[in-house]
Amino acid sequence: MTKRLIDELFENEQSYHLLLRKQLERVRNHPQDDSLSFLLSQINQAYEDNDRERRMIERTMSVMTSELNEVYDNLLQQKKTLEESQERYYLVAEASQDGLWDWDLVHNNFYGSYRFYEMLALPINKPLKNLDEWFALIVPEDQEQVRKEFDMHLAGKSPRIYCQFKIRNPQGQERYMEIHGLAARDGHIIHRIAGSQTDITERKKQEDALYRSAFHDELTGLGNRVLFFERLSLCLARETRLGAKRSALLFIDLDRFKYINDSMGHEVGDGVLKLVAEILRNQTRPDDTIARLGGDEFTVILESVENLEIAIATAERILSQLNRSYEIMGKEVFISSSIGLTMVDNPNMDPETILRNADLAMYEAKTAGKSRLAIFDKKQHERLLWRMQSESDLRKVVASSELEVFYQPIVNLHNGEVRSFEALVRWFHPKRGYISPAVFIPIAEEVGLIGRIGQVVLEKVCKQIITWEDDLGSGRCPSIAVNLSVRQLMDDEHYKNILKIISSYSRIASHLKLEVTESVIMTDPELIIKRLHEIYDMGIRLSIDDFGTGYSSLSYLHTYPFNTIKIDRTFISSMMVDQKSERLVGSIISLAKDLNLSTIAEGIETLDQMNLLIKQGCDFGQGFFFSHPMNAADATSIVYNDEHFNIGTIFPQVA
Amino acid sequence: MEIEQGFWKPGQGLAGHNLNLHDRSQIVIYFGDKVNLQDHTFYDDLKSTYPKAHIVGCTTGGEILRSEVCEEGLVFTALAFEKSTVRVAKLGLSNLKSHEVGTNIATELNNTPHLASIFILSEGLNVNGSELVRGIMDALGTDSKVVVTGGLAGDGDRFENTLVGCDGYPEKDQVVAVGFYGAHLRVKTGSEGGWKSFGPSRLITKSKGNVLYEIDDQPALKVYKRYLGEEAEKLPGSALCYPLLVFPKEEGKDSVIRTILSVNEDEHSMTFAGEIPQGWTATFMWGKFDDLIDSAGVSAQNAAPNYGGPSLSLLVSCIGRKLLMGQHIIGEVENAVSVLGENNYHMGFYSYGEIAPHRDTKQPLLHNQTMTVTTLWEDVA
Repeated sequence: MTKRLIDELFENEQSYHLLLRKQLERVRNHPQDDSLSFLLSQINQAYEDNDRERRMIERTMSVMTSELNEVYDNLLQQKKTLEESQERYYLVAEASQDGLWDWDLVHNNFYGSYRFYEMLALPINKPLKNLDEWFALIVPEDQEQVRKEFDMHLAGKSPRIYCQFKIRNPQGQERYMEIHGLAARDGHIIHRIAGSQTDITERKKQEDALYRSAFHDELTGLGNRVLFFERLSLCLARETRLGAKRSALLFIDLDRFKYINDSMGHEVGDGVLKLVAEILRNQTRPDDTIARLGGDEFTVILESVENLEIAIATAERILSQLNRSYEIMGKEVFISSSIGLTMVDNPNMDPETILRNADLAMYEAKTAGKSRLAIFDKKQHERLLWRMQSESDLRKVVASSELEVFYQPIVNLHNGEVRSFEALVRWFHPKRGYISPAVFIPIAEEVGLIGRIGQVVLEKVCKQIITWEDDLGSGRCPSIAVNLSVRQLMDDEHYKNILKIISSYSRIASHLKLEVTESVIMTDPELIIKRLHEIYDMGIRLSIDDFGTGYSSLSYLHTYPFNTIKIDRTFISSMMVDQKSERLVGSIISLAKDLNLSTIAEGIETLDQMNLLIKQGCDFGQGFFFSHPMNAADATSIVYNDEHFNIGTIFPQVA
Repeated sequence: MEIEQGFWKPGQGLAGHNLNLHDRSQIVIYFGDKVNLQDHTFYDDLKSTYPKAHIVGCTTGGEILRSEVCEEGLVFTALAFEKSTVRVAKLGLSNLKSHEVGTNIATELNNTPHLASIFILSEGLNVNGSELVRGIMDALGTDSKVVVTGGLAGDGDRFENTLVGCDGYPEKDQVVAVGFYGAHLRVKTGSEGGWKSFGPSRLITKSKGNVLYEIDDQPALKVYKRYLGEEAEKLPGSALCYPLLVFPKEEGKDSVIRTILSVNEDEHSMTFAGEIPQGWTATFMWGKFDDLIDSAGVSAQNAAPNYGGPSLSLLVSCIGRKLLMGQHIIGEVENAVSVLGENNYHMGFYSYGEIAPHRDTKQPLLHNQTMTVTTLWEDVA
């Protein structure tokens, strides 16, 4: 390259591109023969470098464009999917019975679907602005609970929002709502909560009805056994709290309700139960729990009664209302009830024990003569337990017919002959030994076993007579007297059974005597007379027992088919010291003779008593003076040996 | 501080230079083409010229001296400090792992008090540069004030082997460090790339060390080739021009640029000049010439001496930038030195990896595709 050319090249050097300047500088610093070609190759290389950069930029742009297109396509697809999802969501929201809601926490915006507003009776064109406006519809007593539910979920302490509450819509109607909700979380940040709302008013009504039927007695509208135990448990739970006032439990049982039901019909019976419910409602406070446990058993939990005295006062008020006559369905019905009371003051007790205590007290009230109040105490408890144990054992022994029949000789006061016995039931308990009839007969009567016992005894007696008759012949066979209880005569079923037994043993009818007490006759004179005649007509002889203790008029005596009068033991024991008794006994004997009835004096214990009775002309006597009741073997021995009591020896001493 | 620089040329040696430091020079640093370094004459010439100086240097992918980028040359700078001192340390990589080498060398240099800066030159192909730096920092402590910079030796665009020398003829598998000591010594650094990421972020789903197997559950090489287009035919050389940006989750202060060193067509994997942690995110990058040139200016600006006296700037730029820009690479050198001031001497090389503190964290790291500038001077005013 010539110097001139180089000089020309450098002439405007300062205005050249940095790269060209560098290239020329290299030529100038290293002048060689081929510097022109070197320069050109440098320039050529620079073009290629530029081309490479351009291509790189183009390719980068192309890659970026294609990736942007890809992203754009993806976004389009996502938008389409989103639109479809939105459409689907919209359709579901509109078709659903549930309302949908969405709270945007970032902007505090609230969205509700058409149905959401519809169920709140709010106009859709005036949407709620925020959550507070929604909450404002909730009744005040439910608001705290709903807010708590939201707070719990926002704090991440619950997996979802679920609650039920009552709202009052702008028309003033109350409706029940149920909501479900879920927060959308991004780490610890929550930007929205969305969920559904269901109008559960109808469901709630059904639930309430179900609840009522599950916890209430249909007939009276009172609580049932389930509700009672639930409330009693709550009551006990409260007892554990310091300063809680004591509560009391009343157990109310109607006396002779079965009789009302049987004799007046179930409709009257139901009327009585409803009336009792009404009385109990009127006599208690709204906080108290009244329940019908079943049949004619009611309970009242008297909440926070301060002390026993107040509980007793309430119970007595109830008692007074439940012991009088009411007109029910046009009929006058006398209601009587027994009430047991116990305090609910021991949180360690279980509800069953407390109920049993009240029941025991009620039982005590019944035993003590009904239509009264009894308060549970521990001794009473033990006594009743004993009694209940007896009852249980008695049921077993009756079922197995293991009661023994003893026989007490009835002595002919004219000649000392024994021609008849009184059958007396005996109970030898395997653990407790001999149990007096005075103890177990009332129990048997109370629990309805007396009829069954009567049948057992009657049957055994009949068998005994057959044995004796078979062995001795009819002429020498003594007769046996059996006591009939009021129940056996009054109760249709029991009465039928007696007739059945008598019929099946008709061949020994002349050796069988039945005894009824004076009080039995007074229960229902008309019916009893009718039935006694039926028995009498079957060839059975009848005695009136405990004569003189009741209120029967002597003048009526002739209308009954009695063969014998048994003079009550109280007169016999007192006639030696009480002239009035002595005269009375004389009158009874004299009357009997006039009516052609034989007389038996009960409870003769001394020689003097016997002598006086002989003197007064009494026909027969029985009592410890002659003999205690004896078992069948001993009685058989007397009969077979034709043993006589030596009246003659004794008699002169009296004379 | 006194500085003198020059070229060593085969056949000519150091002829044509007016060199005066001789015995006073404590350290001579050289960068040169592998052919020149294999001709041991250069070392003998330097040693005879500066008999008392430590002489350290390495092979390159191109050298920088006085606003000029040359190839197949050899450049050197000799320094004579007024108050500061210099120590050197050398360790072989053949028996030790990169991390241990870093730790041992830094421990060795830190034995002497007042260590201000370490300039490290390492073998460029077999070393794990990230571990080497980590090893150094483990020895110094993360709160150390010692400024650590340097680079990995290069081998043009051949990628065959690199040489590093320290007070002797250059050898393979060596790591050499120069420790600068003294209270008057000042060091400033800068490191910038100018690359821009583009396209979607991609998850590194399978990688081990510096080998990348899968991104977004797809074979890494397949994805990468799509991006290279026609340039894919020129792999692996062309890969140097198209690095990746990798970062833990979001682009930010932990982001690093990674250059591809080689590809494995059978495994569809790519080996990088630094770690590619699995679970990190990667994006493609593109380097516009103007952006790269501008970044070199920014890097130099950050390292510019705030002192009117003589200073030396060591420029370590990435071979990838040079391969991408071709002759335009002169632009980045021009741009850098234009801000370094009149009394500044500068020298540098194109490397297989740059070591310099991160712009934000100030923690030394192995960089790729950057221009790093380390400026030293003695403040004796």
